[in-house]
Amino acid sequence: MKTVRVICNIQEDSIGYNKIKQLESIITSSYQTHFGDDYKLRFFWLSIPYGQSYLAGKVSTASTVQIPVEDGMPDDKRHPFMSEVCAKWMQITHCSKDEIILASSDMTQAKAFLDSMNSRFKKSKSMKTQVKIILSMIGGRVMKGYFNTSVNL
Amino acid sequence: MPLYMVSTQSSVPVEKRVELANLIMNVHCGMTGAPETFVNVMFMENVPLNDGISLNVIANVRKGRTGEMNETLRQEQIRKISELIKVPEFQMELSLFEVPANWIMEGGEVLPEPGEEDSCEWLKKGHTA
Repeated sequence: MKTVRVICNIQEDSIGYNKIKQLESIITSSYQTHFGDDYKLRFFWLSIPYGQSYLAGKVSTASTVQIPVEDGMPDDKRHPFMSEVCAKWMQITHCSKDEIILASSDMTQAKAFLDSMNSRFKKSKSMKTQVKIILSMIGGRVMKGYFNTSVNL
Repeated sequence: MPLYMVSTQSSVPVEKRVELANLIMNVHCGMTGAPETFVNVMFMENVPLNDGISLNVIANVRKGRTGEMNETLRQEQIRKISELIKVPEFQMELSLFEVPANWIMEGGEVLPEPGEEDSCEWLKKGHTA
């Protein structure tokens, strides 16, 4: 069983518990249908406080979702999956098609990007910061029932 | 896409965030010809950045431009942001992370390659999120 880390940046308080769980379930189901049952998806929800994301210079209400796929996945397999996820996301959240941005990068690239994000942290505090994020995620899961924290540390 | 993620140690006032988001968009679009409706900017606060760094920007940009063009874009963003927020360039980090356009879906469609925006349906219809 291979674990796939799914990162969802959503507007603060824009999606409630029931919809979050529906999204987790339906995206996992889509992933396994398209790519096989040998994948376990682990979701991490990052909330963006109002006024901290912009599109075309104006406050944005869009969610940004990263669901990595196997390296070298051909477009004729990658794109149908992406279309299905976007459609289901819109169906569940009632957002418009302009409010869901989906990135399905190769797994290697997704990891490199995450490493790049972690390299922002002060060297002496890097480990401590990552532990803080993990603890915050766990705390969020205890409080809300799913792994979540804020984009602010 | 592009998605610019701006990390700061302290909170940035709302007015300054709006100015920064617009500045980043204008520099990006001015240099690449990308439509404004592609440009996302997200702010992350209270981030313990590297020693001596006040502001860090990591941007996902579409792959397909030359290395020279990306470096020019990177330097111009640093220069303009530095002027706006009055932070010396050496206190800023800005890196561009190239992502193939066909890995991204926005407006229900796969993003066009750089320079092929005319083929993008949702751009023609307008993008409002």
